[in-house]
Amino acid sequence: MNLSIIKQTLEEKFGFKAFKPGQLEAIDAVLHDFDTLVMLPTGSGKSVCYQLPGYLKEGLVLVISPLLSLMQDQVERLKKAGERQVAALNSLSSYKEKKRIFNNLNNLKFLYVSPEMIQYDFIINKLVEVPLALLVVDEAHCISQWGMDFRPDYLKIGEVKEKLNNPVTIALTATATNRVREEIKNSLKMDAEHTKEVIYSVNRDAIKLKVEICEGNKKEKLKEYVKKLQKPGIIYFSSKKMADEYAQELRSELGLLVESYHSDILTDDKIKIQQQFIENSIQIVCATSAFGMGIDKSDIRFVIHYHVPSNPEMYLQEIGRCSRDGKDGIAILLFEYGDQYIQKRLQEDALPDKTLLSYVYKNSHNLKFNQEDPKVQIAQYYQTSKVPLNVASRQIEIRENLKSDQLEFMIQYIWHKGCKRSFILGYFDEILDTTTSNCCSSCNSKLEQIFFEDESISIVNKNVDMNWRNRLKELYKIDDESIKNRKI
Amino acid sequence: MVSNVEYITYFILSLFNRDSSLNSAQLIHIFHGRRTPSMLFKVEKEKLYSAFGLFKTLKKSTLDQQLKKLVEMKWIESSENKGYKLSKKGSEVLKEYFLNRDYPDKIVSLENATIRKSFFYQFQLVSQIFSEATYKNKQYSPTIKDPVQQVAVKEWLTSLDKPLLNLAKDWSSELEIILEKLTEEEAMMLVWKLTGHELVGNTNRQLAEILSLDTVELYILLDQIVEQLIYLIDKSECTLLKSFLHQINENHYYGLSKSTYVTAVYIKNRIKLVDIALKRNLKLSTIHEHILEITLVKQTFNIKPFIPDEIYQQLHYAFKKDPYFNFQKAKQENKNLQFLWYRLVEIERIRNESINN
Repeated sequence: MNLSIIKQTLEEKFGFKAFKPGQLEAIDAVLHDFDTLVMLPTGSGKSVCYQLPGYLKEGLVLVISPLLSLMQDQVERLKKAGERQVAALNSLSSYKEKKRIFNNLNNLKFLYVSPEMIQYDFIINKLVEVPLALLVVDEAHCISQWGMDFRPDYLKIGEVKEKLNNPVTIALTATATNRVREEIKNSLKMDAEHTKEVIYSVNRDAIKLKVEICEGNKKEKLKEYVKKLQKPGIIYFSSKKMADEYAQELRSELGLLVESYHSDILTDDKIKIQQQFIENSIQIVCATSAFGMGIDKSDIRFVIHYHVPSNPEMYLQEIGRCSRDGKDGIAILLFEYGDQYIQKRLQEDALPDKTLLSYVYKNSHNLKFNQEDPKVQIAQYYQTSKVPLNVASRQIEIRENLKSDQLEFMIQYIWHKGCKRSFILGYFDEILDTTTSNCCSSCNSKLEQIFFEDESISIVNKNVDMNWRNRLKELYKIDDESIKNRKI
Repeated sequence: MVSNVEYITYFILSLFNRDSSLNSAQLIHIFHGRRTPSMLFKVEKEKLYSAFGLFKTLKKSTLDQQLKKLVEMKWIESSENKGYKLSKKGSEVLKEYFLNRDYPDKIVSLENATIRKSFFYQFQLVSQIFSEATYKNKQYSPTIKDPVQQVAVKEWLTSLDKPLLNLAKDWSSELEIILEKLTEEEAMMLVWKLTGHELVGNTNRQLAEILSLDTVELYILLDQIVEQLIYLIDKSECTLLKSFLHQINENHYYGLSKSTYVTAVYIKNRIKLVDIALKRNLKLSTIHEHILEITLVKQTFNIKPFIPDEIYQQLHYAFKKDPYFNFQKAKQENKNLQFLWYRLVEIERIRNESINN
């Protein structure tokens, strides 16, 4: 394919004049019908790697995506960019919507499907009837039991690929170790001869890494940083309650524009918080890991973790929301001895133990399908997928050990005296070639001071005119002239 | 009044009364909006319309904690059937708490219980679409992401077959007319929830802070305002807003469950109950349950055609004579008495009593 056509498509469809690192290589591989494994860091424009060749190839681009929010976000972005032939098929789709999608399958360009949906034979049967340009496996690390978000449904995508007559496949991820990448390729039946790998470092130089060991003063440290650091920023907590409490404290004590964001916030309010954050009417979001997916805000200057994240993959993904504009930002991990036990407790609560697993297997007929407890849900998943009890039990044991090892790595990262960046990259089997200035808190103990803002800039709560008539006028451009022309 | 007790606790307390008991299982069903005839009847009898379907994801364990707290403070007391009644102390506490605070009592029927949520989602989405259309902007991110709501709005807009800009003008002028009928605070809450061109609406927490309200209080008040909005639109001459409401009603079976709606259509076409059961391959008792649901949801539904005249008179007389009259007693007097007849008259009496009071 002619490079000028590819560049023209980039500009026409995506509004960019130049490719980001890795994009062109991935696009070229796909256009040459190679199965492709793409690992590009967060915020580096992975979607373009499949959407652009999708436009240049005949047929439907089928995208398997693990999260409903992610799927909705991608669909919306494509629609916003003027693409009408895009749809999502998932548990939220109504009967009418599904019917509409199947009737229109030949005209669709992009179809986003959840991994559960793609298992149904009737859906496969519909899909084999249309020409497929590309099979896309987004967040491909979910395939791997060694990855952070293992999804058992993802294991069956290899079979799906075969049933769809082995279309050209592209698997995308932001954070995967060598071991995870091997597992992705094996599972998706990508053979060495017909597969290209576009692997870029997970490292983001612009994000400076700091670990602060606190001794009973974590709260004060947080407030000090939040007060002094350039904004906007995100603070991650592992509990919803703490996210709410700290947001309240930062509002009332520091007069900052802060909101909390977690799964208990009403859906439409979540969207409002995202939009307000993007347009800078909120300076700080106190969030759980629910926040971030689909937030395309380039100027986030800091990400603080109040609690230690459960694994390096998640940590990199969360701090990866910082500095997308290429300007420097800082990721601060606050740690106090004992914090690791919060994470350990969360891990213990996340997976079913052997007793629970056996109980669910023996009493499956008596259990309702929609159980509230996620541990029961996982056990039910294994049972309904007909995974033998001993295999399920072993898999859960492996996961438990893995989670424990990952947390242990995070603790080692915290206490590591050498270069933090170099250490965390080691987890992803990467070696740091050159260090940049102010790389981490081991390289510069006063790193954070570079990111302190000029005190005169600090924003004070604005007084807003709450008159509803004026607001309505703004919403609908109502003026005297339009009132005169009214029919009623 | 106890200062560290939150609004939600007082609200839950207000759902109890001194005469009849309410238990945790019933209350959680009411909060989840469970539509069995017995639950709908309980709502009607105790006038718990505001609570019906209000907290669909509330866990029973959380509710039980709240009830435990109320018992510990002696604001409610245990009664028969593992239920609770409002205590004298609780009654005084409630009176004092709501002395200077509006009690959410603007929802007076079950008619819009299944409609309000979708109505408000779609109302926000349509308001945004028209705001963006006014500014001729097509590149925006919808504030309501739920594809079901988006498709419904799209279908409605397509059915209108008019340029968006003209519709936007009608929408804003009609909306202003309706908003003028609300209190200043109610109109403010509603308008400030809306997102439009380069304007992001407020979250519940933000609005609650501005109005010095508890977030749960704001959530409940907003539900009440939406109910009023529906009522005002329904009674208005605003063609576009009425068409919007009509579409939502149609998509939600006019507040009934789907199966009951199908029965209601047969009834409207004057098909006998026995024949409806035959046609639908349902038991007659199920059709009776549908009639009860229609009666409980639609306050203007005429029950007389479903009760023999003589029985209707007898039941009213018996209720008048004996305040403790119940179905068991009624059955002793007339072995052929159907539960449907008894319950329909009971509902009518409850409603008449509340009008007289």
